[in-house]
Amino acid sequence: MSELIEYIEDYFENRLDGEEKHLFEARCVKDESFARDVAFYIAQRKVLKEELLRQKVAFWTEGESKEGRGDHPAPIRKLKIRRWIPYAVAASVLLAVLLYFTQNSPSPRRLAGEYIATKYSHLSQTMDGSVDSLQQGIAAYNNKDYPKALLLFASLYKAHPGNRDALKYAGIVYLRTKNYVKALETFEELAHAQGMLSNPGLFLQAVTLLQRNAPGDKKLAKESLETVVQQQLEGSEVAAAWLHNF
Amino acid sequence: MEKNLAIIEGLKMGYKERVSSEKLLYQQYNYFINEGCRKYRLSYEDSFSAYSDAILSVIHNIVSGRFENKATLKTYLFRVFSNKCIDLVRNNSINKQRVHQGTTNPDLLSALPDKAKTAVEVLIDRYKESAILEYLGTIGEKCKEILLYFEDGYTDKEIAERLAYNSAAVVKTTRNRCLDKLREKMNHLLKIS
Repeated sequence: MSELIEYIEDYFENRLDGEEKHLFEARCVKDESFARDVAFYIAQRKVLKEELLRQKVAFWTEGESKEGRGDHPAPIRKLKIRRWIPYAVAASVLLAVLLYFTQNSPSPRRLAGEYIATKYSHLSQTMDGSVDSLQQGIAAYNNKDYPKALLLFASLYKAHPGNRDALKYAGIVYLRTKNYVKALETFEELAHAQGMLSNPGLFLQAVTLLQRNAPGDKKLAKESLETVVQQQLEGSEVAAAWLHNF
Repeated sequence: MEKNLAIIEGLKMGYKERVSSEKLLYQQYNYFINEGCRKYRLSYEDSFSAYSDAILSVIHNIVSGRFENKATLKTYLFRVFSNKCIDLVRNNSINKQRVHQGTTNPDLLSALPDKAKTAVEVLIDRYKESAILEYLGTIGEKCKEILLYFEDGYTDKEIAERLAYNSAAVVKTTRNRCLDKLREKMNHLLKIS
């Protein structure tokens, strides 16, 4: 009978060739007595495996309490900190340099804001002492009565479309009150006005765009400032200085 | 890494080195047991059982050359362990584990094609584990030892060296006779019952 056991073992240890394997498998289906021997072989192997595992586990866990099993600590990945120190130092220096330049090089938006604050916080009145709508508007503006100032400048420009100062001041009121759409429309109209010796329209458009700072505004502002510089329009010197900060 | 290489080499060496390497491997990653509890929500006993089983499978795969070093030992062991855990979860969820506990050997049974597998599977239930274990104790200590060494993946030649037999052929003959004895005892029991 040992040959039978050997035959079954040969099958499970993969020592039979293809044809022999087919015969073995067919015999399992057709021959119940043989299938019983195969069943015995598998069953005893399982029992042996369990017994083997039981003995091995007893040896592996020798001296361990049941509660202590699995207490072998999971390894903690040690960072090789020293290796990273030069990189960390370099990154810190770079960051410091960047911060230095960003803090000491104001953004174009900030420059535009400062320009408006210094240049247009107060409008100069004409020296002739006349009390026309323009002077009243300037007075209202300087008193920070922007609605009144806008009403006066707009009315004056409507009545006298040739009065570019009224148009410019109306635009400035819009800019101060953060009505950027109207400010841009007004400065656009100013920029296209003919017959002016010095036209600040395009420059003020750029200032308005920088203040609004909507997506794409910075790019448009830069283009406007470049045109101002190229065409030597009013504000070209300031524009040239600002362009360094883009 | 070097420790793992030493373990792998140790497992492929002689009996003494293998035994100590097995223990080292078991201890090296036994924190997986807690991982099994946490990740697969297994009871500690189940996770421990999956881990022990995984260690034995990995040892046998390394010894037989089936472990090809394509993954690190840790990755390989964790994969085997995860599969064992998943099997346990699946068995627990469909409550099959208890039904088949002690009746199947998936590794060997799965080697058979479906028809042969079905024919054999229905007969396995007749061979009670407790009875086999009991009779295993009656066929002689030497017999049991040979069978356990073989189950542990030792070749007949290695068993011959270990147990001082004249040759591998003698071990093979003895081993088959031992199994015959066990089978006869089991069949006798089945006839009585």
